[in-house]
Amino acid sequence: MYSFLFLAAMVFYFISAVFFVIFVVNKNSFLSKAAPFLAVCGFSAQTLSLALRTLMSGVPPLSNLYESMVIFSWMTVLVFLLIKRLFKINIAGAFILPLVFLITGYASLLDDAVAPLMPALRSYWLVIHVSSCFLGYACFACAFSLGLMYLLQERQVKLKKIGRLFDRLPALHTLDRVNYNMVLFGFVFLTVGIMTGSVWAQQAWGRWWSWDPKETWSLITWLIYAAYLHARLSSGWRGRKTAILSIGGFVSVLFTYLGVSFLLPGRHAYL
Amino acid sequence: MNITVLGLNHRTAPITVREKLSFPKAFLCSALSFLMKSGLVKEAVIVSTCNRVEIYAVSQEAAASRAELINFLSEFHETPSDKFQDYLYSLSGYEALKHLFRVSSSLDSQVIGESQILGQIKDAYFQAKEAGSVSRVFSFIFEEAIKTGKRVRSHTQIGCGAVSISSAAVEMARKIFGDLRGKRILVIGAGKIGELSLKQLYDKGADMVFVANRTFLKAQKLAEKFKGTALDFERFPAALGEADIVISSAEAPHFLVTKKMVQECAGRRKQQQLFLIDLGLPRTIDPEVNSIDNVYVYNLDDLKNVKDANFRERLKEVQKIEKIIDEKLLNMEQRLNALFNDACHEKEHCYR
Repeated sequence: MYSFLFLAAMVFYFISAVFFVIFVVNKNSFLSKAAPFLAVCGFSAQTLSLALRTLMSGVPPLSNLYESMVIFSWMTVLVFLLIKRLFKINIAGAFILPLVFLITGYASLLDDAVAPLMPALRSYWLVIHVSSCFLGYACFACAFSLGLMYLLQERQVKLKKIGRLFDRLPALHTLDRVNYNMVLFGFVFLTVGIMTGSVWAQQAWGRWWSWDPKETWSLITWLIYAAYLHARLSSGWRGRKTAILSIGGFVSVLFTYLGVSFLLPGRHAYL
Repeated sequence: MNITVLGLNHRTAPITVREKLSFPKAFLCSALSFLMKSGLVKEAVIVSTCNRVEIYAVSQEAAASRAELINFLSEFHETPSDKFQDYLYSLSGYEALKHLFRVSSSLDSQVIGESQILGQIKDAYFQAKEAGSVSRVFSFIFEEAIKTGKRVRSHTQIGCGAVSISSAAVEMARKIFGDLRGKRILVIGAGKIGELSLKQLYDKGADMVFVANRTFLKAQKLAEKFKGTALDFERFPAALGEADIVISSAEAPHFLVTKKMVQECAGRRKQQQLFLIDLGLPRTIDPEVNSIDNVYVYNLDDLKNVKDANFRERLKEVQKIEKIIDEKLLNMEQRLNALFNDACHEKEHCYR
């Protein structure tokens, strides 16, 4: 049942992403309502799927690649829906939903059977550590999308080439501010994630920090976003440069998340 | 029984003629009752704006009514008919209907897609209703025309995008800053053209105004209008650091705002966005300023390009709207025929 619901969610995300992208080129009041509605449908289906799976297995879905991708995509949609709600940036869906579809699509190819939780992971720290890291990643994914939107829009304003995207994309100032908010929240969650991970490592492995590749790369990611916030708050960086930083930060997030798992196995190998 | 329209507009007649034939609001009611009393027409609506004067009428016979309506215009305005006859167009039946729908959808306007005409048609219709010159045929037709005008505005992009220089400047400002409330405007040169853009930005909420002008008195005058502050002309470079939007229209033999000037105030600006509008001819802002991060310079040509691009987008919508109108008219046909059959006792000349 939960597999079916997850596939349904994936299909919803796919159609929503297609509608969003068409909406960018063709302003159509049907699409502008249908696309976010489908995203909400997908989100509901996925929430249900997650809840069922957790109830059936009795373990939180946070312990392997498949489960982490499900959580990552679910949180990204959650953050997108919040952005849509709070800042009315509907069109961000055209950038975020394709990303969400890619993640869910990849996850759907993986084995979704419930595996018994490894002894090393049987701890309440798992829930706090992993969910706060992935909530951070979700915020960074949205910041990345907003950064892309900013660069696209800024290019049009700067070069005075008013293209089709011009009236679809929001004002530069809005994009910049929401990008900043997303980085700020993401940074807080990532910090909490790294700290709780460290405390957990001390309890489980006896060391706070062991320069495991995952740890090292999270630190690099953390430093990039710290640089973003520092440049913004103390040197007043704004706009294009910070947008580029937030895009670079997300590349580092992706490497920390996927690259490290595939290329640099370490203690975090299960994820 | 026939529907006719007789009139002239900005394309067919020069302003002097349009002025002569226009119906001021105060006279509209008496004009309509004059027309009704003459027995020429069964129903009538007069649309009189600065770009058009049109008489819509339901009458017994098309051919006769043209001459009679011209006569009416000539008598009412006390102008010999040969002075304006050549500028008139007259349409009847389906063509007249279609014309009304094109007018209410703003396709016949000087600036296609402008929003005022719909309100003007509404006013004309309600005034005719008050004067008692509207009955079943026109109340049906005009209400449909007004509905169609609304539908066209909400379902197409015909009214979108700025199509004048000053509104293009506002559009760009909003694309940069989003909300303009509380934004600070520095005006360099207290000329008319700068004031026009200033007013539009001010109306959108940018209400901290600084004016620098060579003649201090003129700066004070303009600043007063917008509850702003007048500056000595020499002090405008310092004010650059405080402004979000700069409107420059001063005359100068060289660039007034240079790249160095903007860079020097960058420290105080903390890389906040700065939008400079150069309305001067010759230009007053060094175009190189545009290369500074988060600083955008638009001169008259750039704004004109924005405006033209928007206008082209509007023109793309015209076909869509013609289709909406054609469909609407097709839908109305049955109802119209029924109305005509009721209205004409002889049942000889019917619609189409």
